[in-house]
Order: sequence, then structure tokens, then C-alpha cells
Amino acid sequence: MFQIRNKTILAAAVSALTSLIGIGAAYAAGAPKGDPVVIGVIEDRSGSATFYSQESVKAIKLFAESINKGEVAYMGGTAGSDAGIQGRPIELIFEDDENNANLTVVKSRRLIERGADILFFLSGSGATMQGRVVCAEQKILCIAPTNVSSRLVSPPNNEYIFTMAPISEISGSAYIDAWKKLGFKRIAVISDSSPTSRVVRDAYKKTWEAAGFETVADEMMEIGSTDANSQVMRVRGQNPDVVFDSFASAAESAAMYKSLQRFGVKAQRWAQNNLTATPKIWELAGNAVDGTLVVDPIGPGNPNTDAVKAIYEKTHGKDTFVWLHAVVWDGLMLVKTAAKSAKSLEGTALRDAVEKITAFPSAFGQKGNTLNFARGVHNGTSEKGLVIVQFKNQKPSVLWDVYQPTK
Amino acid sequence: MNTTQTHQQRLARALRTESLLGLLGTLAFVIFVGGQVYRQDLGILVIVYALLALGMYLPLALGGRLSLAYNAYFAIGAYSVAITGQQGGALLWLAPILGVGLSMLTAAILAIVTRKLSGFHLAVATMLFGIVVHTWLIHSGNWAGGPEGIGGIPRLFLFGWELGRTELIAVGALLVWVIATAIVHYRTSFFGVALRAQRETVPAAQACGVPIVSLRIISLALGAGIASIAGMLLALMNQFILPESFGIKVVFLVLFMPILGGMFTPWGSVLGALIVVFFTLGFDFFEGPGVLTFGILALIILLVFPQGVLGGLAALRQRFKKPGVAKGGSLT
Amino acid sequence: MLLSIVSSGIGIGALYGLVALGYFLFFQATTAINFAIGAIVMFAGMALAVVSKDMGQAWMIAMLIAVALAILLAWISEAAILRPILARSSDEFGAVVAIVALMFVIEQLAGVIFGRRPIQGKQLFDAIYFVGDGIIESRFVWNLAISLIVFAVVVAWLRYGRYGRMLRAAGDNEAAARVLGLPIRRIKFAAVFATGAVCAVAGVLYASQAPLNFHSHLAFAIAGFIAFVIGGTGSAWAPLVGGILLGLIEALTIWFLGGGARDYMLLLLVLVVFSVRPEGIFTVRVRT
Repeated sequence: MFQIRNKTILAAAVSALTSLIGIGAAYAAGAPKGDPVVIGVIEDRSGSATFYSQESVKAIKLFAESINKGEVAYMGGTAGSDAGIQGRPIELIFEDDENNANLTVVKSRRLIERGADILFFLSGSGATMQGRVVCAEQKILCIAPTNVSSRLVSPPNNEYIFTMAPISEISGSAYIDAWKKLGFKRIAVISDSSPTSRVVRDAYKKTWEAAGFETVADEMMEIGSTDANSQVMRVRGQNPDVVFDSFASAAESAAMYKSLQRFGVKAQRWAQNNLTATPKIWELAGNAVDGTLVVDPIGPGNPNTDAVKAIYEKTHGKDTFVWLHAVVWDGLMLVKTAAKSAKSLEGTALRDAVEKITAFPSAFGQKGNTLNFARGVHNGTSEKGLVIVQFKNQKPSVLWDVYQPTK
Repeated sequence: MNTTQTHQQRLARALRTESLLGLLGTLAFVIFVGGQVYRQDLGILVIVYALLALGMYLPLALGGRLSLAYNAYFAIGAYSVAITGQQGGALLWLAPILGVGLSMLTAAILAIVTRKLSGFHLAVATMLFGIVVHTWLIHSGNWAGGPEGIGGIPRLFLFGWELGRTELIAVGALLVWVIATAIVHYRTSFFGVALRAQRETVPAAQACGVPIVSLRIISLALGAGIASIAGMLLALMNQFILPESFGIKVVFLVLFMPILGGMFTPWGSVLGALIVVFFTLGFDFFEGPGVLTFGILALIILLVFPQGVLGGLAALRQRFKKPGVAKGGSLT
Repeated sequence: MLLSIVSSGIGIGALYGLVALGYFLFFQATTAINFAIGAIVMFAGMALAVVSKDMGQAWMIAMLIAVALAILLAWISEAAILRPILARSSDEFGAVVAIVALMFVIEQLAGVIFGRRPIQGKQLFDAIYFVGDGIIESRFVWNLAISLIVFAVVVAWLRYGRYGRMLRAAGDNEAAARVLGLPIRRIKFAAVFATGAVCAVAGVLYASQAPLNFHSHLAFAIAGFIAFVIGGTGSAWAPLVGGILLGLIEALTIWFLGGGARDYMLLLLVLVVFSVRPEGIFTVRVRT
């Protein structure tokens, strides 16, 4: 009894002292004060989108901390150089939806019950599609920075959700313009059996077929299989101009690249930006990935990208900076900017503030790229948000010298 | 003569008690869920899982046939609502007929094709069927929504009355009670006894003229119909369905529920559903390694408490009963 | 062209055969189907990859660790889980659910310990052979060679090894074996040991050729089981025949009908084989 009481008193004293020191330090550094701004994050910790989700989570944790410290890089003019949001510290709370749309709804509501003022969706597109219903219902601002589906920002239920990564239609037209320039006609596409990959393939295929290209091969690799030889051989037999990678799963993607290399398929390789979001594939596929061209949200030559990359690499030096991280930064900065002009955290006020944002400097895209929102325009990007990069030495390190998106 | 009367009276009374307790539990559940949006989300999941578990329980506990194709019937129910609900929902009334009918037909065909199989062979064959249906839904064309699923499902109107979220919970819970009670009565009816007899000894049952194969097929079909109702409720509640929700993982999860709650009564499946949802969603503690903890828990229950929660409670009750009361008239 | 497909089918089928051998050995000891074997293969493969690549240990040490882990998991599934449940009642439902639960536990353990990302071990077989206008990957040749060696060892053990012969005896009729005074516990352990070792070899081979995910185990479990059923229980070579047959059918289906046809083909195959000849190709012939 005596010992325990002593321990309790000791613990209390230590905590009190630590708090005093902490508060003192905070005052000294001009840290954000007051009630925290609570951002609820839907993540995937154990489902099929875990890999991408956790990359985005790493970014949001780091950048929220940076903003709380007042490190806003080039965004001082637009978002304000004060620390935090409206001078208040950002607090992140998380819920795992396992990339299961039924759970996303439950977890989103749970986040709101736990006090979230704003929601960030860092899980798969399908899950976000379902989750945004909660946003419209509860009239709370929602950001899905990494999802590229245009359906997310189309009615119904799109009134309170915003995205910023270039949607598949915009990426699609960038590919088409590039291929037209090279006089290509025959496209072979390979995807995996996951719903995400199928959605991507459907979207891009529709776009290029509408522009007059011919799909000469449409192959699929089952998730869980370790061998793509049959599919690659069928592709080779069709003599395509382009082999288009619309994979969503890293393991199968790497196997496919190795097969392409082994069978000496001559067509030019193009991939959608899942490849550049997943450095794991570059590691697994080795030099089989070299030469592949990707229409990617980030590339060399944009000082904003480099600034955010520097912040990221200070803490996560060993990890590769990918476009997922860049759009998460933009998502947070967008909220900070909107909160500054709305002067309140009420959902409708924030939403209206976001819709008024134009000429917002982004961390991704070509130099000088900006985001522009409006009522009915909840994805603020254009083709200037895209860069065509080529893989060299197993990294997407060079800008393609033949063509860059111009619209 | 006297003993038989008492036995039958006891049986009837036990059945009534079980039904009444079930009804009370259901009412308590509906009131607890109430109008709170978050609780309603959990509530519909409990109802959906309970129906799926009941659908699996019927042919399994009574007929000894383990089919793992339940995600297919779940999907058929949900998609029948989603597809008929397009274009403003004029055809929505078709959904129950279509959903239940199609799933029962599918189950019957699958049962006939696999009638010679048993044990793990049957499990794997039906599991593959479930996987194939799931794959097909993902790669289906526009009419079934493909990988992006189907959205914009309208609410159902019953006699001019809109079935909103609260109403769906009440209707769903009532359905669970009706079905569980029906199974309880079915178990002690002629067909139920015949079905259970063939589970114990096929030759003896056959000798008594029990049409084994037909009974098995019928029980599997009924189970599928119940599972499809779960799909319909989910589609009506969320107003949006994705093919990813109908994978084989759902089946594995539902598999645990009758065991957790207790195999000797259908209410065990319902309780199992409640426990599973509570454990995987209601508790922050089980986030992340939630499935791991849950799997370990399931193993512990299987090894140490095979009668499940209700079984354990029943055993406790027996212990406190006065000695000398005849133990005849058990419901197992 | 067709040569590449056939070699691919045989190469992958050889691995299916190894997994099927795991089922076979376990079945000999317990007459139960251990569906968690797929998870054990995956776990062993991931252990090898992580220990040898991320932790930088010598490959041999990683291999030994993988084997030890596989044997441990196989032993747990038999002694700690299946045996008590089957002893209680002959109802298979409890056993099925227990095995599924174990499968989940192993899967989640793999996710927690090794991480939820694709893991690949050191690529052992990179060479390619050019034959005509087709390509044969050396890994397929190695898969077949190593599988043949493993099978030969197991067959020899079953025929001439002390515990191998006792396993065959006990497997036929455990009650009779008990009456004869055979050391049932040790025989079961020998079978479990062999199962674990075979699973580890399969896991190591998989990890050395392709990235493994903590979801991969279900595909292994299903393919291995189908191969096991096709082969039958009549001979210890049966699982290999079943595996190669399955691999060939799969590769040819994808070549002629595209990647999406595989699941449908598997279902059809299962329904046909299970209904028409569930005993498999090689059956036990009892001399009368």
C-alpha cells in the first residue's frame, strides 16, 4: 500500500513537471495553441490497399507534424506561415477500414463521433466511394488526396469531397497525346485480377478506344499466381506498339515485367502511376523495369516538389519519395488554406472556402502547376499536373525528352 | 403414456420459452441500436452476419452438410436489389422474388452436383464455387456494375411507407427472430427430425424411408435463401454495393459464428454474429491485429469450450438445477 | 511456343506437387486434410526471405530456420489442434473450422512478423534457355529436379525407413497399429516432421522465384489440395503426378483461353474429378 501510494504520487509529480516544461517549451517556440483541429483519417492497415495506404499515412503524420512546427515551405503566402491550422495544432486520429467499403462507412462515422472536424480518406477508391456518403450526410469536409477516380467527385454525394491527384481521364488524354505523337496505333494492356486494377484498365481502355486506338491484346494475371509467361507470350504474338501496365498489385506486376524482359517483347512499355507509387516493384523487377514510361504526378524540375521531398527525406531518408506523399501534402495545405479564409471549422463553411480556391500552388506536376476548384469542380487538376517520366537505373528519374503534356 | 405427455408438454414449453427469450433479445437489440447512426451501422452488420450464419447453420447443424458458397448467395441477394433498383426503383419489388429464388435455385443445383462429396472435398468444391462467383462479379460487364459496383440504390417502399435506416434495422431484426424461431421449430418437426436422423446414420434413415438427398438439397436451398436476404438488407441499407464485399473472406468469418455461440441452437449463430461484430469493430483494442486475436480466440473456444457461449451457459444452468429432475427432453 | 507453356506448367506443377505431398504425409498420419499447409508453405518462404535478405544471415541458416518453423507449425496443427478436436467427436465441421482458424492465425502472424508487403527472397534461378523460338526458364527445370529429389527421398523413407514403414502401417489402420504396439505418438511426429520439411522446401522454392504476400497461402492451399485429390493416395508419387497435371492444365488454359479462365477451369476440374473419380488416379489396392 505504502509503496503504491508513493509511486502514484511520484508519477503525478513527474507528469505535472513534464507538462509544465512542455507548456513552457511550447510558449517559447510559438507553437500552435488552443483546442486541436482533429483530422480523422481512414486508412487500410490490414486489407488489400495496405501498402499504398501506409505510405500515405507516413506522409500525413510527418506533414501534420511539420505544419504544427510552422514548416510550410513555399506555402507561406497561400496557406499562411502560422503553425497549425488557424493557429491551432493538428491532431490526427485513425481508423482502419481494411479497404472494405462496408467498414469505411462505420469507421467514418466513428471518426466523427471521436471528434473529427475533417476527414481524410487514405484507403482504396472503392472504400472512399462509399465513405463519401457520410461526408454528404454529416456535412463535413472530406479530402481523398490519393484517389484518382473521377466518380468520386461526380454526383451523387459529391458535395463535400475533394480530390487532387489527376483523375484517370486527364492521365488518359496525356497518354493518348503522347502516343499520337509517336504514331502508335496498337495497344496491348495487361492487368491483374484485383478490382482496383480492373477499374483502372476499364477507364484507360475506354479513353484510348474512344480516341481511335486499337486494343490488340487484353490480358489478365490472377492475383496469387507467380507466372505471367502465357499472358506475355500472347501479347508478343499480337505485335503491339505499346504494352500498357495497369496492375495494382506489386508482386504480380514485378513478375510481369520480368516476363516481358525474358521474352524480349519489343513494344514500348507504358505504365499507369501505380508503378511510380510503389518502389517495391522497382526492387522486385530489377532492371526489367528500365525504359518504362509513366504519366506521373511528380517528376524532376518542380521546385515545390523538391521542397516537400526535402522535408520528407529529412525524416524518412531511406524511403523513396513518391507522388502519394506529394498529394497528401497538398491535401493538408488545402485544408489549412481553406480554414484560414473560412475562419471556422464548420463543414459547409470549409467546403465553400475550398470551392473558392484558385491558383493554389501544388507540390506535384510540372513547374508552376496550380489547383483550381469551384462549385462542381472538386478535382482541381489539369494536364499540367502530369509529367512523363522514364525509368533509368530502376528509378523514374528522367523526364521523357520526346513529349510533355501541355494543356 | 403419462411420460410421453409430459415430454411433449415440456418440449412445447421449452420451444415457447426459447422463442420468447429470442423475441425479448431482439427487441432489446432494436431499442439499443435506436436512431444513433453509428450504432445503426454496427446493427445492420450484426443482422447481416446473423442471417448469413443462420443460412449456414440450417443445412449444417441439421443436415451435416458444410457448404462454403455463402458469399455467392449473399451476393445474389444484394445484386438483385441493386439491379432491380436501377431506374428509380420501380422494379424493386421483384428483388425478393429474384434474389431468394435465384439463390435457392443455385444452391439446389450446386447441391445436386456435389451430392456425392463430403467433408473437406465438399468444403473445397463449394469454396471454389464461391470464389468463381466473386471473380465473375468483379469482371462482369456493365449490367452488374463490374469492379466499381452499383450505386444509387433507392429505398424500398412498403405500402407507401419508406424503409429508412431505422425501419430496416427493425425489419432485419424481426426477420432474424422469425427465421431463428422457424429453425427451432423445424428442428423438432417431422422434416427436421428426419434430416437429423440421416446425419447420424444414413442407412437407418434410408431404411425408414427418409428421402435423404432431397432433404439435404432442400435444407441447402433454404439456407441459401436466408443468406440472400442478408444481401438484400445490406444493399438497401448502404444504397451501394461493391463486388469486393462478397469475397470468400466473408464465408470464413461467418464459419466461426455458430461455433462461438453454440451449435445446439440457431440462436447460437445469432449470438456468434453479435460477438464477432463486437470484437472486430466495437473494440479499439482489437484494431490491427484484430483478426489475429480473433483467430486465436476462435481456436481457444474450439479447443476448450466447444459448446460455445450458449452451451457454456446451458451447462452452468444444469449445474444449478436441483438433482432428480429428469434430464429427458433435451433439445439436442 | 508451346514448349514454353508446357515447361511453365510442369515447373509450377512441380511446386503444387510438393504442397500436395505435404497434404499426403499429413493425411497418412491423421486421415485429416490440413488446409493450413498453404499457410505453412507461405510462412516458411517468408521466413527464409526475411532472414536471409533483410536480416543478412547466411542462406543456409535461413533455410534451417524456415524448416524449423514449418515443422513447428505442422506439429501445432496436429498435436495441439486436430488431435484434441478429432478425439472429441468424429464430426468434421469442428476440424474444418479449427483448421481455417489456424490458417488465419498463421496468415496474420506472417503479416505482423514479416510485414504486410510483398516479400521476395534471393532469386536463385535466373538463367533462361532458348530452345527454338521458345523460352524455358531455368527455375522450372530446378523446380522439377528438386521436387523429384524430395519425392525420391520420401518414397525411399516410406519404403525402407523405420518410421516411414511404420507410418504406412499405422496410416492404414490406426487401431490395429495400436494393438500391435506401434509407437503411435512418435510415428505421428515423424509424419509431421516430414510434412513440415516438405512444406519448407516448397516455401523456399516459392520465395526464391516470386514475391510472397501474406494473402498468398490460399492459392497454395487450394492448388495443393486439388493436386492431392487428382493424384490420389495410392502411391507416394501420386501427389507429384497430380501436381504436374494440374500445372499443365492451368498453363494450357491460360494460353488458350486467357488469364481470366483459370478460376472457372479449376471449379470445373474440381467438380468433375470430385464427382467422377474422387479417389484420384492412384488408389490403394488391397490384395485379397
